[in-house]
Amino acid sequence: MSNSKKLLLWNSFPSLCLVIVLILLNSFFTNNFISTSFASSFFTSYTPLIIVAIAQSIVIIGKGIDLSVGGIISLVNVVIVSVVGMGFSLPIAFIVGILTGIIMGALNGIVIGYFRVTPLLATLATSSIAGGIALWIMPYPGGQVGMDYILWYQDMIFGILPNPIIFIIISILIWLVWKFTPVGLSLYAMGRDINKTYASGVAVNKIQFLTYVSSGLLSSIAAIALTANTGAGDPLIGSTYTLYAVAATVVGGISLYGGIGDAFGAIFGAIFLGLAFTLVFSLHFPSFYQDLASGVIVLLGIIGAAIMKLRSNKVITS
Amino acid sequence: MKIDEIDVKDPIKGSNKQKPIEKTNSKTFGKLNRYKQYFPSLFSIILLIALGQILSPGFAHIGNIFNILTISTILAMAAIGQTLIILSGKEGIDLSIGAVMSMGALLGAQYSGGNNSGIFYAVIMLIGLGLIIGLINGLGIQLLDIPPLVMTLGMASVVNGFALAATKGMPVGGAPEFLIQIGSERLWNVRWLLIIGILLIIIIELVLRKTSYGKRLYLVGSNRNASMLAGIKVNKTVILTYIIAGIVGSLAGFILLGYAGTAQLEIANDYQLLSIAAVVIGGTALTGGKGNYIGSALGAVVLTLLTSVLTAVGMPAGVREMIQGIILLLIVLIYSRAPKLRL
Repeated sequence: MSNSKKLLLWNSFPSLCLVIVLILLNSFFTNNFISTSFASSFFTSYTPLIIVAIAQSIVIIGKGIDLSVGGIISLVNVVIVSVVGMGFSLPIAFIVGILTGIIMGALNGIVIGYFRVTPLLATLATSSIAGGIALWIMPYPGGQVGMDYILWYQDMIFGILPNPIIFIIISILIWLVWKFTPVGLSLYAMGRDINKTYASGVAVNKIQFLTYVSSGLLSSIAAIALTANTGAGDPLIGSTYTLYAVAATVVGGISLYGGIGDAFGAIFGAIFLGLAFTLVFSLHFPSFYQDLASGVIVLLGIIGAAIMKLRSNKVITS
Repeated sequence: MKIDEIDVKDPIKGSNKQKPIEKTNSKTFGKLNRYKQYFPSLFSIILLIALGQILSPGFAHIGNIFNILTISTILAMAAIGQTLIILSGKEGIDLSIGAVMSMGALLGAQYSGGNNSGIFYAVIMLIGLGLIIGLINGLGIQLLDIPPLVMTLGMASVVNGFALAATKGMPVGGAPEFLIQIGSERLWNVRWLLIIGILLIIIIELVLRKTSYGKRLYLVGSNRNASMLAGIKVNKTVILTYIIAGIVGSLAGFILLGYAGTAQLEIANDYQLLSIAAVVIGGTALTGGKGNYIGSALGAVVLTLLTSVLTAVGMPAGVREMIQGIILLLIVLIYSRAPKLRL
């Protein structure tokens, strides 16, 4: 197969095209679009979304779904701000935050992997648990992390690469560990057919457990980035991320029925959503229309991906 | 009974492969078995009332019980669409019900302008909006093969955005007097809202059991392919189900407005999780095709009782949300575990 054909059949290719289209559109409508300052502000805003999209794609490739990522982000955000508020240093707060994310992910993993509860209901329940604890710890938005951290987050490495990219690189590394170890092969196999994978001697419940733990870990990394962006604690801050993460994976060509796709597609999907939101912002809609516009974009992205998938299925069968 | 006996004794069929079917000779036991699905709900209701009475004396007073039953009507209404959609099978679920209800409350207040004379217009508009939302959900799920979970989740954010845009962030109008009266005026000491709830249970159960739509829904839920081969229009049935859910959801929001008095943005968000929990407690299978609405209504009573007990004890909102999550987790741990992979 030639390289160009390979590119066309790449699952993440449609989302890459969408990103390029939006870059073109943005370059017309957004001021200073092609500049390091725009790149910096884009990545400060959308790094959490990109990371949480990677988290969601790991779970979805294994034929699961994690509706609790939003709740976990809220919880970790609140935990970090509270720990800092108690007078501990930032690294300790991050460690506590990451542990919180891993514990929530492990809870999902145990309930889904070992007790065989449907992922949808299990994560809906744990989402409510995480969100509830967040609201319990901090009923109203408040607190703050140090100014140093916020400024560092907005800064750039050598004046070119925005610092938030470090978080994205760490998250991509976690995905690459999945992809280039035997566990990743089991993950894809499990997404295609869990019974056959089990029959081939793979401990599927362990793999399921690990996908949700990874999702919890990555969600907590997203929350660390988000905390730097907002600088404060907010018990409801993560609520929109669940939908956006799922939408990013769908736009990124990952099949919701499992086994197909790559986390890089989800990254393109997340960048697509971020660019689309930027475009809405630059078109100067009145503020109360912006939620509607974002919602419609997300839904159109999902519908567009579904239509493309139907088409490609037809091409394959005909 | 005789057929069972023959089956068991048959030397060919009833050999080592078939388990002898347990004979249920006593008629009462057979009847009890039919209502087995309701036992957990009824047991929880009694337990929660007792717990409430211990934690805050006066909880089990008949007036308070009727209050709770009345409030649970709103959750039971939210559970109508959820029950039908989950019955339709193929991972059917409605994650937009909370948003649709919030929209119903907000726009109901706006369209009616808080006057009785505006109710008719508001109801027509809400039915129209609910129809459009349900239609888009149904079309996306059936024709584009988008998983219900994703489609309705995306729809929820559109609906929330639409409610914000339509009210321009400032809810206007209010609850029409008539709606408030439904929640407060009584007929023989029973509030009208509760009477409406009971009527709805009867109507939905009749629709499910006696109409061709209801029978089609169960068939489609149990086996899509088989029902398609049997000549049932699967797409039509499922899309109709999502339309019904959209319409009932937005009208339930309007009723909620009457009960709450004023509307706020995302007022009905809690109903999202609770409506699903009510259906699961009610014994409706998430795989579809099995269950009924009475169970969901009982589930709604259980969850409303739980919320009332937690509120009576003075739990903050966060703890209540957490406990609701834990309860849902426990319910699914008990009821909806997939079979083991090892055979």
